[in-house]
Amino acid sequence: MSSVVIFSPSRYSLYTISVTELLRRSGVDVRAVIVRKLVNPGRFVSEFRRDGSRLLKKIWKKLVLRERAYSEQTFETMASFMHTEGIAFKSVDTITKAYDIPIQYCRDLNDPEVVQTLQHLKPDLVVFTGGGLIRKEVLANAGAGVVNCHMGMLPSYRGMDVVEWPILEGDLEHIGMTVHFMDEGVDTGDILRTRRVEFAPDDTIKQIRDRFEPFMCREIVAVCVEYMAGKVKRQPQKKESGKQYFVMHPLLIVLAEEKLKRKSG
Amino acid sequence: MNESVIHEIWQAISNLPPERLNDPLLPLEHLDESLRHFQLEPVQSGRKRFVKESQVFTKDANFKDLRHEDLLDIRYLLYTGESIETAAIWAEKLLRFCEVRLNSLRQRAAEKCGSLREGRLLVLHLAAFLLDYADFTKDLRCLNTVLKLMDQTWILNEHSIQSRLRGKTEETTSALFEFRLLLVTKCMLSRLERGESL
Repeated sequence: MSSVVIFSPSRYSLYTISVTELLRRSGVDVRAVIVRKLVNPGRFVSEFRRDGSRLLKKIWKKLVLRERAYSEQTFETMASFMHTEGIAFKSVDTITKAYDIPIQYCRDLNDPEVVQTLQHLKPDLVVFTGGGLIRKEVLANAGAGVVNCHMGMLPSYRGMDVVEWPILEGDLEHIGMTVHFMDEGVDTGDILRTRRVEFAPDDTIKQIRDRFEPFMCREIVAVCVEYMAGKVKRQPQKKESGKQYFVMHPLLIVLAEEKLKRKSG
Repeated sequence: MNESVIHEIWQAISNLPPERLNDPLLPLEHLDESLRHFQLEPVQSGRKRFVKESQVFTKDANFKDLRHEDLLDIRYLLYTGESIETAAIWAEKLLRFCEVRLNSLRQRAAEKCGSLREGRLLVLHLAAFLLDYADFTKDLRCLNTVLKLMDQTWILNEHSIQSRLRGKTEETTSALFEFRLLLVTKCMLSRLERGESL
């Protein structure tokens, strides 16, 4: 039986819960789920450096306004996907408890305790469902490696806001996702599979983003299972084949949204 | 900044004495297209440079060793089309540096240049290069980075540009660069608003 360890960005990640459930249903031995602690000053500082005031807005919306991450839509979102799949767990704690999977909390996924856990559990690979950049020591102890599903088409769109960037650049053919191995760079590891994500002509950027996660769940699980069965090959990326994108300025997000409307109009 | 303010500032710039218009950092060089966008007449400024012996071909592209001289050379590599590849290497490295170090840029620039005023001038010149690069290559990432730099109040203060044009020479230079950034970004954003490319 193939075995994995799952990395999670928070105990409430619906993505982590769904990936854990689908991997189990596919007959994969989930040896542990390692969860990054939600309240963590170091994490706040590093994310604030990256996202600036956008991080404060995100916290305000999620924790203060308690905005639903996945609003009700006519298409499949993470919430409706979980409902269809019969996944009723509300937190990573409840799913790991139900299936007797060890759970470990850490300040950072690169902590030495995480490396020790991986050395002890020896998984075939690590499935990444979020939680920041992964360092060399963790990568070296992750079996075949750490697999991530990136919300952009690699190698063209590396980095941040890679749903918005192809829209602004008028490159709608490159709205999609990539299952890939992580390395020390930003989205530069070997590619396992890329896939376009279809969207409706009148979708907003948020709606396009909402469409991604159910696809990402299915895709990362399917690709990991196929990879461990030897059915998928790693394809190295050429550095020069793509660009690294950064957080998009609010003025450009407005322009991307307008461009999307014009395309659909 | 609205169009009438742009016209007002340009009027003030046009009235500057020639030695200020011919600032050695060339803040008004290669602006004709953006000026035309606002129906403004270019002024005579700057002079042609030759970059064959430039260090930008041999030294590591990074902020730590960056000098105004390098920025002038890589700008001219773009203007002359001589080596877009070299300019691309510098643009990629400097863009990444600005994005990753945006929050500590003020301190880093001041430490590197010996004073905040000098550091600020170098960052303004760097931003001017990134906009030139965006213009030549249509790389929207550079415009994105410059917009973030312009949001930093220690880098750009659009309300005092006119008064600083009349100040000391280095104040005039930074005011000219700030005007350049405002003019070119406004021009680029209006093109994007109309659904055109950069």
